[in-house]
Amino acid sequence: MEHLRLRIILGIVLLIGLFILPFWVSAIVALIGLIVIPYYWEALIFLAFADLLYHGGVTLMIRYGFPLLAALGFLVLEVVRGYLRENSHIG
Amino acid sequence: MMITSFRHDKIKRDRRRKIFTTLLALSVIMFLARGPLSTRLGGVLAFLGRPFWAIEDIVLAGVDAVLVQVKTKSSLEEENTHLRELLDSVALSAHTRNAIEDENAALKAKLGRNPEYSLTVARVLSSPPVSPYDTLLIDAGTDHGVALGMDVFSDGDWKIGQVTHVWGRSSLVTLYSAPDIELSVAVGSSSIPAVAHGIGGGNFRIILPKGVDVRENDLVSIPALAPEYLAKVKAIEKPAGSSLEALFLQLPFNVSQLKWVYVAYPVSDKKAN
Repeated sequence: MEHLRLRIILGIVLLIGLFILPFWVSAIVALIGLIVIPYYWEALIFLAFADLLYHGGVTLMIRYGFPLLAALGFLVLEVVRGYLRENSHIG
Repeated sequence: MMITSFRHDKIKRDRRRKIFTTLLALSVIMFLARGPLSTRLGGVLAFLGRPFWAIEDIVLAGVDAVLVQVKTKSSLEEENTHLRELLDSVALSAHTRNAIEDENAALKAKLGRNPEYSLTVARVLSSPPVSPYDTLLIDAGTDHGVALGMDVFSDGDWKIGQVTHVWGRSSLVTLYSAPDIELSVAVGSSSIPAVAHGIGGGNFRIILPKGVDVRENDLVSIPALAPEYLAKVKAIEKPAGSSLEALFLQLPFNVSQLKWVYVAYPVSDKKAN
């Protein structure tokens, strides 16, 4: 329930952020969501939308760098989170 | 023991399923971002963003109105006097500049070279740092005659970018200062040919041999019939032991504070519209 409430609040911030807030503010919000909330799809959707709306250039020498980096971060975080959860369950 | 093992397997299966779904969703996102649908989806997002930008304008206007109320009478009088003086000085120089521009245009027309474009104003909906890339979203699109590749200017003949995506009532302008853009320019009063590399946020870098006649605040222009300026030389770096020097250029205004820009229509296109 706590996660759901946070998820909704962060979702609204990301939606507004896509059109109005500086990108770095929205990116930090998305990162917080990714770390705190399991399977936080909204962060990936936000970055993909930012790329579609502002049509990506080159970030860190990679074209479409932001969505790709976020996708990588998402996968790593979820694998690590799953591993930790699984091990703590067995223990 | 068996129940624990079943549960453990179920959790593992569940996790694998979620990661597979994630990978699938990511592939779809990547396809949309790169595929032919990307421009169309960008247009939909630009349309959905309009209410947000309208609300932002209303809120900012309200905040400005409140701030004016908060200012003291004496500070407003002081600001008013300063602005009047500034306006007088700018009006005088603008008068001279307009006369010179008219004379320049008349001479070019006499020699058979007419202006190649006319300008139409567009409102900036979104600019860096809201846009993570060096792009501006403007409120003029195909409905207003904007087409791909049209040049975009700001006040004072500063050529800032080019239209790279067009939708019905909005367009995306990629600034020349975007990190992957290179532009042929002429530096200073000697018009030294060079290549300017965008480094983001209205900044550029040029590498030239040491000893060329370039000073800080020199204008960097884009070779064209009409005056088109790219930026001003902000700093010159001359590393010891190197035969080259780096010029750092900057636009004389902040691209994130741009409210209006001008889209340049080729004269024949504008007549057709």
